[in-house]
Amino acid sequence: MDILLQAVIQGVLIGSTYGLIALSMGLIYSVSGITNFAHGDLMVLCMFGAYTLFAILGLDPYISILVIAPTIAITTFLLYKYLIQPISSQQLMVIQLTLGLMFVIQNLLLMAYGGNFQRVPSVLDGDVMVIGDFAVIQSSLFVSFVTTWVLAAILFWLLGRTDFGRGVRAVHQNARAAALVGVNVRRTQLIVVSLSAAILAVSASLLVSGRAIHPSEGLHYTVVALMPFVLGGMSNLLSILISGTIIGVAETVGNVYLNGPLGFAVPYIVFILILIFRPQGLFGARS
Amino acid sequence: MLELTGLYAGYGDLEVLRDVSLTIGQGEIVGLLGANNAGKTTLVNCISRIIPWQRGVCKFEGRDISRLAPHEVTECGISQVPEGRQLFPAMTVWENLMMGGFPSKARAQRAKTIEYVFGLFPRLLERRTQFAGTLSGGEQQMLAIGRALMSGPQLLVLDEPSLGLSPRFVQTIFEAMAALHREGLTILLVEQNLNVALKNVQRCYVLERGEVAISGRAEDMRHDPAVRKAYLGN
Amino acid sequence: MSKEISYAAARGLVAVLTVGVIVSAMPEYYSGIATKTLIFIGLAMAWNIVGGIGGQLSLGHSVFIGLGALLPAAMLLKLSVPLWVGIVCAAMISSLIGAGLSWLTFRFRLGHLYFALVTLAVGELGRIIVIGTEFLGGASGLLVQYKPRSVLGVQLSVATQSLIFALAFAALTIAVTYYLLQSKLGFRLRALKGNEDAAQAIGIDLLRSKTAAMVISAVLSSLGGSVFAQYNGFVDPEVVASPILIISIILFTAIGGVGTIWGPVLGVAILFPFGEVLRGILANSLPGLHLVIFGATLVAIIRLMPNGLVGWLKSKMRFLRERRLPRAVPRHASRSQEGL
Repeated sequence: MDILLQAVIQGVLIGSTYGLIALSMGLIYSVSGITNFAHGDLMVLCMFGAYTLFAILGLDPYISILVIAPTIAITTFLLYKYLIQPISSQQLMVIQLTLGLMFVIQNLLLMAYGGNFQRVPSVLDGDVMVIGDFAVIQSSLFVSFVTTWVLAAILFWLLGRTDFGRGVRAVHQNARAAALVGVNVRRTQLIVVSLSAAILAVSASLLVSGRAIHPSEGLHYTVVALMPFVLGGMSNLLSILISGTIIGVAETVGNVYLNGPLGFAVPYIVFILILIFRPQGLFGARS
Repeated sequence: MLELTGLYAGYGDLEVLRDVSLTIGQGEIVGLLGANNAGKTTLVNCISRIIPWQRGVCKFEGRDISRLAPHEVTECGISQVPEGRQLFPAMTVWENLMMGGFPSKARAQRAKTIEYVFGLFPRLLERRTQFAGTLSGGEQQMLAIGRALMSGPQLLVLDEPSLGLSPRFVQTIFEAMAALHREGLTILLVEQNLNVALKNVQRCYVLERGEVAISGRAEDMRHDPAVRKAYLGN
Repeated sequence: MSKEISYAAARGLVAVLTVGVIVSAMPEYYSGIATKTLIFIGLAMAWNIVGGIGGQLSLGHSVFIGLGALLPAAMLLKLSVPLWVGIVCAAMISSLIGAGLSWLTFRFRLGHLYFALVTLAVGELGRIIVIGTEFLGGASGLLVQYKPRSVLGVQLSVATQSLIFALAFAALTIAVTYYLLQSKLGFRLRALKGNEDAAQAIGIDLLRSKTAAMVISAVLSSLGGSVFAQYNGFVDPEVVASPILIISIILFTAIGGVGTIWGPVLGVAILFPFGEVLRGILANSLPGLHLVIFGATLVAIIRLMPNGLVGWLKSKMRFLRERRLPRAVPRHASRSQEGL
C-alpha cells in the first residue's frame, strides 16, 4: 500500500512535466492546427544542449535553461517561418515534413553525441524530500511539479486577461474572423510557437535532472506527449495538463507491478483503454 | 473613397471574378447585388485581402491596398461584417467587442466605442457576459456589426446581414445601418434580396457570374427589367 | 474485363522477370541493395493502401512489419514450428490488430491527425512489447540461419532466394494495388478520401471500407516483414518494430507522391538506393552523417514539392499549356448613362 501511494505521488509529480510537454504541443495546435511530430526530438535537442553547456561551462541545467530557452525559441521560430508555414495548407505534408525533421535531428544528435546514455548532473541530484512518514520524493520532481503549475498559471492568465492572449484565443476559435478584426494571424502563430518552444525547453531542463538521456529518445517523448494531448481534447490546455498527470501515474504505477520494459507499456494501454470508451479523449468533444 | 479596377480573382485554377471595377464615394451607401454564387462574397473578401488576389488595383483614400495582409486592411479603416457572422463562439459578447477593437489605433478608444455600440444595440448590453455561441441569430448579427464598428472604420462592409433573420431583426439591422450612414459612415452592402437592397442603398452594382453586369442608381434600377433578368437569367 | 487483367498480368510477369534477371546479374553489393529496394517498394505499396488510397497517415504499421519479421522466427527457434506456419500466423494476427485499430479510430469521425497520433502510440507500444517479451527476442533480436536450397534441380543461394521472395512480394503488392484501384472497394475509398460527407451521404460505409483497406494493408505489411527477415537473417527489433522504419518508408512515398500508384515505387526506387549509396560513401568519415544529409534532403524536397514528384511533374505540364477562359456574360453599359 505504501509503495502504491509512493508511486501515485511520484506519478503526479512526473506527470505534471509530461503534461507540460503536451501543453506546448497543444498550444501550437490550437493556434495553427499544426502538430510537430519532431516535438520530442526538439526536447531531446534541448536536453543535449544542457549536457553540452554542462560539459563545456559546467552549468547546472537549472541555469543553462536561460540560454537554451531563447535559443530553441529562435530555432523553432525559423523552422516554422521558413519550412512549415509556407506549406501549412497541406496538413498531411506538414506532418511528413516534421517526420523528416525528426530524422534529421535524431541523427544529428547521434552523430554528435554517439549512441550512449548520458547524464547531466544538477544541484538537486540525490536530494529527497520526506513528506510526513509516508512518502519520500525526489526534490527535482517536486521542483518540476511546482514549475509546471506556476508556468501554467502564468500562461492561463496571459491567455485570459491580456490583449495578446485574447488575440491568440481568437485565432484558435476563428482565424478568419481574427484576421478581419485586425489580428496579424501569421505573426501571432509564430509568437505562440516560439513561446511553446521555450516551454518545451523548460520541460527538458526539468526532466534532465536525475534522468539518463539518449539521442534516439525523441520519438518516445513525442509519443509520451501526444497521449495527454489527445486525451485532453487537443486544444483544452487545462485538460491536457490533467491528462499528463494521468499518464504519469499510469507509468509509475505500471512500473510497480510490471518489472522491466513492460512496465512502460502501461500508460499506452491506459491510453488505448480510455480511447475505447471515450474516443474523443477525456475532455474532448465529438465532432 | 474606394477605387477597385480590373480585379481578377479565383481559387486555384477556378476563376471567380473577371475584370471587376467599382468605386465607392465618401458617405455613400453602395449595394453589391447578384444571385447566389455570382461572386459577391469573393469580391468582398478580395477587398479585405482574405483572398490573396494578384491582378488588379485597389485604392482606399488614395492609398494602394492591393497587396496588404487582411489585418492591415482593417488597420487602414475598412471593416467587414462577414457572411454568417463568424463570431468567436467561446468568448462573451464583451470579449468579442474587445476583439473588434484590436488594431492599435482603436485600442485607446475602446471604452468609448463600446459605449457607442451598446447605445446602438441595447440588447447587446443586456447580454454582455453571455457567450457569443449561445446568442440568437439576430443578436449574433448585431454583435458582428458591433464588433466591426469597434475598429472605428471609415468604410463598413456588410456581407448579407439579413440572411436567416426574422423580419423584425432585419428591420433593426437596417435601421441601425441607416443611423450609421447618417452619422457619416460609408457603407458597402452585399445583399441577395433585390428589393431589400434597392430600398436601402443609393447606388449599386450587380454581379453576374463573376462580372459586373449592371451598375447605376438604385432608383433607376428598381424599374429596369434587365436587372431582374440578371438575377433570374441562367 | 478479364482480358484487360490477363494482359496486364502478362506485362507484369515480363517486367518481373526482366527485373529479376537484371538484378541477379549485378555484383553482390548492388544486388543486395536492389533486393532491399524491392522489399521496401513492397512495404511502401502495402502502406499506401491505407496511406495513399485510403488517405490516412498510419504510423503504426511497424506493428505488422515487426510481427511478420519476428513471430515466424520466434516460432521456429523456440517452438520448432515451420516458418510458413509462423508467417501465416503473423499475417492473421496482424489482420486482427489492423481491424481493431481501424475500429478504434474510425468508429467516429475524429480526423486524420487523431488517426496519425493514435497509430503512432500503438506503433510505439508494439516496440515496447517486443523489446519486453523474451519470446519475441527481447532487446537482442533473433537470428535465423537460412540455407541454400535446391529447387527443381537448380541450386539457389540464400541471396537468390531473397531476391525471388522480394520480387514476388513487390509484384504482389503492386498487383493488389492495381486490382484494388479498379475494384468497388477502391472506388469507395477514393470517394471517402475526396469528400467524407458526400461519400457517406451516398451510402458508403466508412468503417467497413477503411477496415477492409487496413486489413489488406496489414497482411501485406506482415508478409513484407517476413520477407525482410529472410533477407537479413538477423532480425533487430529496433529496426523492424520501431516506427522509424515505417516513417522512412512514408517519407519515400510522400516524396514520390502519396495518392498515386507509381508514386511510392518512384520514391522508394530513387531515394532508397540513394540513401544506401550515401551510406557507403560516408560511413567511414562520420557515422550517421549520411542519415542527416538524407533526412535534410527529404525535408527539402517536401518543402519545395509538397505535392510529391508526381504532383510536381503534373503541375509543370499544366503550366506549359496556359488556357484562357472565354467571356461568359457580355458586358452591359451602365443604364444611367442612357438616361432611363
